[in-house]
Amino acid sequence: MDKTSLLKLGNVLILSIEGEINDLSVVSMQEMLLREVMNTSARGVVLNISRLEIMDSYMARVLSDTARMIRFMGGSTILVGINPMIALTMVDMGLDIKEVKTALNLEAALEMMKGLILLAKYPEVNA
Amino acid sequence: MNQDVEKKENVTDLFEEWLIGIEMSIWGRQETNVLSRIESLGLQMFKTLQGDLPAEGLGAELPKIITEIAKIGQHGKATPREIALFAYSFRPFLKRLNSTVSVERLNQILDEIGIFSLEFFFTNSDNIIHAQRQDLLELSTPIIKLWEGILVLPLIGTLDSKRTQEVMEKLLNAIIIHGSKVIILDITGVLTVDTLVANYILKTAAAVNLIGAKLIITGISPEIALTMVHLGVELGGIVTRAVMADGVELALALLQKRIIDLKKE
Repeated sequence: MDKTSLLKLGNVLILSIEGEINDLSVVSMQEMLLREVMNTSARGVVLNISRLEIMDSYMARVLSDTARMIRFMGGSTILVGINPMIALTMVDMGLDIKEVKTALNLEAALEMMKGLILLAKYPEVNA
Repeated sequence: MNQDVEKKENVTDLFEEWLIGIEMSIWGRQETNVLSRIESLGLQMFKTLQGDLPAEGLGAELPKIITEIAKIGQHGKATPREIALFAYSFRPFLKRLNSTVSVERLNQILDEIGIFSLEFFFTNSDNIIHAQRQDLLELSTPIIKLWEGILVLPLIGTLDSKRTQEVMEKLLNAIIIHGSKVIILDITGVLTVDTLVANYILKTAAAVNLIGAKLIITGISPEIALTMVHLGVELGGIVTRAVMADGVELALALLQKRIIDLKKE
């Protein structure tokens, strides 16, 4: 738990995951995040993994599962800060997180989130 | 003491004689400062051959001298034969060399020196070729910042797995450094696109997407389009354009920018 930090910015939650994180703490992190989404009625979650050192298949699955769970709770998720080496490894290993949106940095993610929240609020605009 | 003086004179005489021979060979055609370096190396060679020599191998001094010579020779476009001949130019003097070592052993050492010079020549050539290949790779894959948020990567030549890997890493790092949102991959200069190359492009697109940017592929010529369709290559989900100009326009549109004609305004 000490390796993650959760910030609230308006109706967006920003979760930063750092260093090496084991399978157990990933799950507790996921639970904590979902609880916070419910408590704060956040409409969007930005997962910042720019300080994450290792990405394995389990981590990739947890991330895409989390995104799906948040979608069920009425929020949108953006993954930000995948570093080049992790991106290459993921592509080589065939780790697929296609359903999760990605952004280059936090700034771009928050910009993107504005649009996503608006879209979720007024789905007919898109239709 | 007396013997020492005699020895020294002997070396100088031999050296003078050797010098005449050397000046008439390719080594004599080098520039004056290079020639004087060769001369001093030759003198060093005589002194080393006359001194204490190891019973086995070449010792420390001789390889150093011959390495220097090979370097100078390679720089002056000497052939390996000429470099080896330099080593063998000492052979006529071996008998007269008032050395502590037998002539047979000296001959053996000289043979080894010749082979050593050749060996050095070829490893050095290999290194040069390797460095040039690296330079070529750098030159053939420049990453250009076209506009704030747009990077262009023109690919030229043939793609193989090693090269693609390097290009991919370079591109991903450049995206992070420049904070680019759109990347135009121009393959006008790629000769053929087979399933392997298409796979590389797909991988690059996936990695770029993970980082949070978008890849546009441009420069797909009719020939490439034809081969790709015939080979059944799929570029599912990747935006493609025929010419780079269209790609640039699309990239700007993605950043909600456009190019306007000042006259029409």
